[in-house]
Amino acid sequence: MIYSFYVYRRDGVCLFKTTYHSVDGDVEGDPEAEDEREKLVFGMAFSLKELIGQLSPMDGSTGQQIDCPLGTVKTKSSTMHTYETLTGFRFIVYTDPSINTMQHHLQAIYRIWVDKVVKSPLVKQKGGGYDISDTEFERQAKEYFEKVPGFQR
Amino acid sequence: MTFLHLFIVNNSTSNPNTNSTGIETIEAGPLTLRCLQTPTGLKFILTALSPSPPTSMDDALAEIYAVYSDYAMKNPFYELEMPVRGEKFERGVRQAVMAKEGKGGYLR
Repeated sequence: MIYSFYVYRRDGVCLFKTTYHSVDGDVEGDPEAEDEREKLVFGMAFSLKELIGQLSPMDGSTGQQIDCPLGTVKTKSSTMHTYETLTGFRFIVYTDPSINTMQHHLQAIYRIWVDKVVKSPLVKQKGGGYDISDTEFERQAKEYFEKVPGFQR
Repeated sequence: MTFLHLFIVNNSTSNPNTNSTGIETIEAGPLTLRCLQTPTGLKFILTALSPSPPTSMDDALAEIYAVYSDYAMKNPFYELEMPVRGEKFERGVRQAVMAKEGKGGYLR
């Protein structure tokens, strides 16, 4: 089951967030708690990336650090899937632990993002970011996620 | 050749009885980090490059827990909540990891 989906700019500004399924005891509906969580999600993705950067080993033949992009973080109750683009956008989706990999789905979502947000003249700019609310991206992302096996439990 | 980092974090959480769900696995491309949390709030963390099969990490962690019980907890000179030192413990950990390397291949 897919719980929620976030898109962040490289400096941590949340460009888009949505909840597909809420969990019991969720903060949904409380804007302050939602803002707080939005910041925590980015903070966790950011600091885990730093941690992984320090843990990733050297390649013995080239002497360079092996590239280890942060993929999934599993706990007993949920799994966080992240995909970071070369331009620093972070696509983060929370699912239940039964979904093992979402990487290729997140890449597909990024392609929708490029088509429907970056290339679209209709999307308004807002403070250096994009105003995504109620756009084609929102609809197509929802449509895409609904087709992912395991969207509904 | 790849490297293997092994961290054993002797971490007492503030309340060991809560059913908190800490991080179990982090997958970052070829790197996998796996954490075993014991009911007493101890955390054993193992990182590996492309372990195959991934469950071999769980086996290694379980074995390291057994080694910890044998050579740290049963050691009369070991003080609780202190870093684990001891030749037998270190040898035991190395053996547990090496045994899995032979089967699954952590090191290449």
